[in-house]
Amino acid sequence: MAATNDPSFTRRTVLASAGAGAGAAALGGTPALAQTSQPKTFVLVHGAWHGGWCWRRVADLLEKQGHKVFTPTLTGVGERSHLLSKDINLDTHITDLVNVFKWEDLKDVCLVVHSYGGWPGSGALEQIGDRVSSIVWLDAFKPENGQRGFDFASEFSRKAFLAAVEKGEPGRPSPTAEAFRVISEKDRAWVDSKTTPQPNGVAMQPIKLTGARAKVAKKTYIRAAKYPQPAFDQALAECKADKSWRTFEATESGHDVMVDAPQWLVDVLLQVS
Amino acid sequence: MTNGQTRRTALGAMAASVGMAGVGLMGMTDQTTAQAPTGGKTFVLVHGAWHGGWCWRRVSDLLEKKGHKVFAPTMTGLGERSHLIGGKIDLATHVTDIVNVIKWENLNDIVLVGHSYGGVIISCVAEQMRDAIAGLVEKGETAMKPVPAAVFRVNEKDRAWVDAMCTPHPVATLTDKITLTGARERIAKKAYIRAKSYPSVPFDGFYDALKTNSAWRVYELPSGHDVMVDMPDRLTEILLEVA
Repeated sequence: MAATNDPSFTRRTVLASAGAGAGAAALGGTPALAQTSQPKTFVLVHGAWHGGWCWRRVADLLEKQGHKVFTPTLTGVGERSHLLSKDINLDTHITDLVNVFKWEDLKDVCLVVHSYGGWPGSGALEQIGDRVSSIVWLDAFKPENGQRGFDFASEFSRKAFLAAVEKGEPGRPSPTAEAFRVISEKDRAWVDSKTTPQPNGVAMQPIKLTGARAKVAKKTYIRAAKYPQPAFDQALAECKADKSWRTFEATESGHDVMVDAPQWLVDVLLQVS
Repeated sequence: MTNGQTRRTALGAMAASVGMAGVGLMGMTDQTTAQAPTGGKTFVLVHGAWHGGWCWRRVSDLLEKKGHKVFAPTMTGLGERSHLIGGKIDLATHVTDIVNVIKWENLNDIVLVGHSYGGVIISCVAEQMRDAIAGLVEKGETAMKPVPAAVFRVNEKDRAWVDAMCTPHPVATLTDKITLTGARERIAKKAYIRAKSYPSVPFDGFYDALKTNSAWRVYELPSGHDVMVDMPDRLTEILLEVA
């Protein structure tokens, strides 16, 4: 930036065309270090209406033990809510994740996805599956090729979705923390103060999958018992019937397991990653 | 904490971040928060132009290893957010990128570190590059190609890495005028770090001016512009010393 005191250089920079660079990531560099005897790298992906903020307790607990944690916020929500637009689609969110792996040069990662995170998570694995050694699907969607988020939406989401689309809005408002069955009153206030509209576009683009998710060596599905959701019940049943998946039930937790039961979740993550 | 308070706190914090090429300690008073381990501090590291949160990796690792909490957000259109590059990104977008991290993570008592474009120098650089930038605007270019690591005097071993990671920078963020009301100077602890191996008249000017200002601590390092890449250990020491 401050190469301004070299006029010849500035000129060259300015006249050169923009656009290179983005594809040049991951050529070595500095992989994230870790501290303890068996440090691990976690990429935690939030669900709809949420942001990286929801993982705070889990990230703190993992970092305290020397692990490396990334909690990217998807475009259009949380601290990226100023970027909400109709242009955001599933590919945007998939690239949000893929690029974290590339620019931070991550390898041997435990990828954890919550709820809607199962969509961009499944899509990202198609591109960076070789950098992931374990996956944890936390009360999350487990889409198959060609499906759309809209096809799975709950009645609440579907109504709000159609209403938002009808009004030409880029996103639709979040359900309350109570609807997510967040347990403590104090946490409900926190969650309600942070949730933001979810971009509509991400639920309308069919996902393209060729089976990368199934190829990950270690796979785990966690179901939050206190949150009713048929799609997750079905995903849990499928994983129970598939020997390549381990399954857990968070019996005392609502949908936001990272908020309701962070220590329990950390124990499971360290066990299955 | 009301939304109004949050907004006010966050905006105050941001004025500081854009305005300084150094380090400051924010005295915010939110009750909720990122739980830094006991005695730990919270750092928000703001990268410079063409760079992304990736450039802070070594410093983040060193700080986290000592129990501190580190946030190194990547601004829109750059690094791992480079797929979002477009004409709509302006200075306000980048300001909000950082303000929102502070709001959504409920951060307080932050040590805010701005590198290069992340600091005061934006206005000065915009002045110096005015003609060049005006040329880009006339041509309808919305992004500016990265400056090679060699020019930034990055150590030879790391140049390939830095060049591979740097991405075009949104032009509007360099042409927008910054609005400041003095929030930066009101921060209790302020430091300015000058990387001497990188020749820069404006940075020398800031350093010289602050050297005689008792409100600021100043440091000179035998480092290229990307101090977090060239001298991560020394930078981490300084951050902990001034926080």
